Amino acid sequence: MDLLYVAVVLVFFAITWGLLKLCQKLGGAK
Amino acid sequence: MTWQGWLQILLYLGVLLILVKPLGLYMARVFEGKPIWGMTAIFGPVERLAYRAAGQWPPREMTWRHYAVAAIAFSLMGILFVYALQRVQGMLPLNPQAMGAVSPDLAFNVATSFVTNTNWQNYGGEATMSYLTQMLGLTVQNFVSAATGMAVLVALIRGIARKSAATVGNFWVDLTRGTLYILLPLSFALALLLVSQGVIQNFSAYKAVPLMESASYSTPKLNADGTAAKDAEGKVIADETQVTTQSLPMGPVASQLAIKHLGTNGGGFFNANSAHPFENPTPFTDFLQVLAQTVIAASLCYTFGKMVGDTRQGWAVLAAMLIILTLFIAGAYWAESTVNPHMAAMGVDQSTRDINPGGNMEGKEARFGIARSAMFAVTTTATSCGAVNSMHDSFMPLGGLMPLAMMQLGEVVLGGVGSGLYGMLVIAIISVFIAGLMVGRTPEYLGKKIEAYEMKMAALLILVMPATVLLMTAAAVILPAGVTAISNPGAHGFSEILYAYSSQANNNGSAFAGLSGNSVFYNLTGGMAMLIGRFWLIAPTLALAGSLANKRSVPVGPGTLATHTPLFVGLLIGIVLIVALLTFVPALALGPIVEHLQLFAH
Repeated sequence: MDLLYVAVVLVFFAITWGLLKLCQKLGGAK
Repeated sequence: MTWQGWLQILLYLGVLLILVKPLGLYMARVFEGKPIWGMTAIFGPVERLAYRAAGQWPPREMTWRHYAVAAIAFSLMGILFVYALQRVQGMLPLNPQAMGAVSPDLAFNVATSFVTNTNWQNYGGEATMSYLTQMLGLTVQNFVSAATGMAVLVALIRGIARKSAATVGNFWVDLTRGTLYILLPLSFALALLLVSQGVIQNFSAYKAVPLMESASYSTPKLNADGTAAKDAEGKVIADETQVTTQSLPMGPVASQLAIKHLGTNGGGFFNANSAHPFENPTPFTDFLQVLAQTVIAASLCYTFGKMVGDTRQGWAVLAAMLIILTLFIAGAYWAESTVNPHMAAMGVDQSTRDINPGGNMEGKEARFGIARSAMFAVTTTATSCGAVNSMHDSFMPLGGLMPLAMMQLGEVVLGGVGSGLYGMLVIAIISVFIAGLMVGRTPEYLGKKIEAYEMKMAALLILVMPATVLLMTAAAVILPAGVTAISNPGAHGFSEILYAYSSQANNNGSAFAGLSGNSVFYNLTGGMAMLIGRFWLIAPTLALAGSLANKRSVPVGPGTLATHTPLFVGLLIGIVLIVALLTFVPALALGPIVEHLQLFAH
C-alpha cells in the first residue's frame, strides 16, 4: 500500500511537470 | 449583537492596519536581499550553509521554469519525507504515548495536507501523532510551506517590477530568507506570548487527573459475531463503566501553534484545534491568533507596493481585501446572533444579556462568545489558515455560508501567506483586462501589457480550483463511499461535502466536522484536491511571472487605467465577488441557502 500512495504522488508530480511544459509551450518567457 | 462584540472586531482591524506598514517594509528588505540589523549576524552563517546544502553557492538568478522546478521538487521531497516519518513513527524516539504507524491512506492525506499549507486533519493529533512527527514532520512543513508560498509571490512581484528580464530570483534564497528572517523570529516571539497566557509547551506523557465528579457510560455487550447481545425480552445487554479519571494530553503546543497561525497553516496540535483550552486559553490568546493568521498576508500587500515602486498599489489591493473581509465578518456575526427556532422551541434562552452571549452558542466556547467565534471563522477561511475556535458545522446556515463562500472566493481576501496575494494579483490582471475590453484599449498592469499569454495563464488560475471543487463534490454526493460519511443528511450533508472540497482545493483546512473524512475515499480524493489546488496554481503563476518579467515597461499615458484609485478598488471587489458567485451560487443554493429556508419555514 505504501508503494501505491508513493506512486500516486509521483504520477501527480509527473502530470505537474507536463503542465509546466505546456505553460512553456503556450508561449511563455524562457 | 453587542457593542462589545463590534468593538472587538474594530480593535482587531485597527491593530492589523497599524502593523501592515512596518512589517511590510521589513519583509520588502528581506526579499530584496538587504542586510537585516541584528539578525544577519546571527542567521547569516545559517543562511550560507543552507545555500551550500542546496548547491546554490553563490546563489544564481533563476528563470521562471527553474524556479518552478525547484519549488515543486522541494515540495515533493517534503511529501515523501513526512509520509515516511508517519509510517515509521512507532520505531522512533519522542513517542511517550507509543503511537503506532499512521495508516497509509491517512499518512498520504496528512503529508499532502501539510506540504500544501492546507493542514486538513482527518485525525486527532493527540491520539495519532508522536511528538517527533508533530515537530519534525508537521511543524517543519508549517514553516517551509508558508515560505514556499511567499517565495512564489515574490517571484511574481519581481516579474511585475523587472523590465526585459529573463529571471525572477532564486527559490532557495527566497525560501531560506523567508523562513529565517520572517517566520522564525515572529513565531518565537508569538510562542513566548502564548506560553505566558497558559498555552502548554512540554514533552511530558499525558496526565491522568481525577474527575471532580465521576461519570459512567454503558457499552453494549457483543456476541462472537460482533452483533449486540440481547436478553430474553430483546433489550440490549450493556456493561456499565465508571470513569473516575480524565487523560489530559500534553505536548510542545506553543511552538507549533505560533507558526500554525503566522504561516496560515491551521493544523492544530489537538483535535479541537483553537477551541481547546491548552491551545487557546484566553480571549487575549484568541486575539493574538486572529491577528497572527492575518498580519503577514496583509503586510505582504505593502511589501508588493514597495517592491514595485508604488505603495499606493499595495494599499489599493489591501483596501479591496479588507472591505470584503469586514462585510463577511459582519455577516457572520449577524447570522450567529440570530435565534435558532429549534433551540427556542426547546426553551433554550438565546437572548443577549450580561450573563448570556445570546444567539447560536452551539459548538462555541463561552470564553469567546459570538463575535470572536464569527471573526475567527471568517478570518481563518479568508486567509486559508483553517484553524477553528468553534465548530463551523454548528453555525447557523447563513453563518456557515460566510466561511464557505470566503474560501470559494479563491482565498484571495488576504489569503494564504503569499498564495493569497498572488491569487489577488491575477484577479487584478483579469480586472484590467475586462476594463480594457470595455473601453477598447490594450490592458496594462503596472506598465506591463496584458496579452494573450497572460490571459491564458490567468484563465487556468481561476478555473482550476472551481473545477476541482465542483467535480469532486459531485462525485462524492453520487458515490456510496462519499455519501456514507455524512452524519447530517439533507442540505446540511451536502454543505459538509461542498465545504470539505472547497477547503482542500483552496488549501484552507477547516471543516464542517460532521463529515467522517478519515476513509480511503476522502483521504485519496482530498489529497488530490489539495495537490491540485496548490501546484496547478503555482505553475501558471510562475509562468506569468516569467512572461511579465520579459516585457518592456509601457509609460503611463492619459488612457491608462489607474490601479490605485477607489474606482479600481471597486472594480477589483466586483470581479472577485462576481466570478466566485457565478461559479458557486448554484452549489450554495443546494446547501446552506436551502438549509436556511427550511430552518425558518415554519
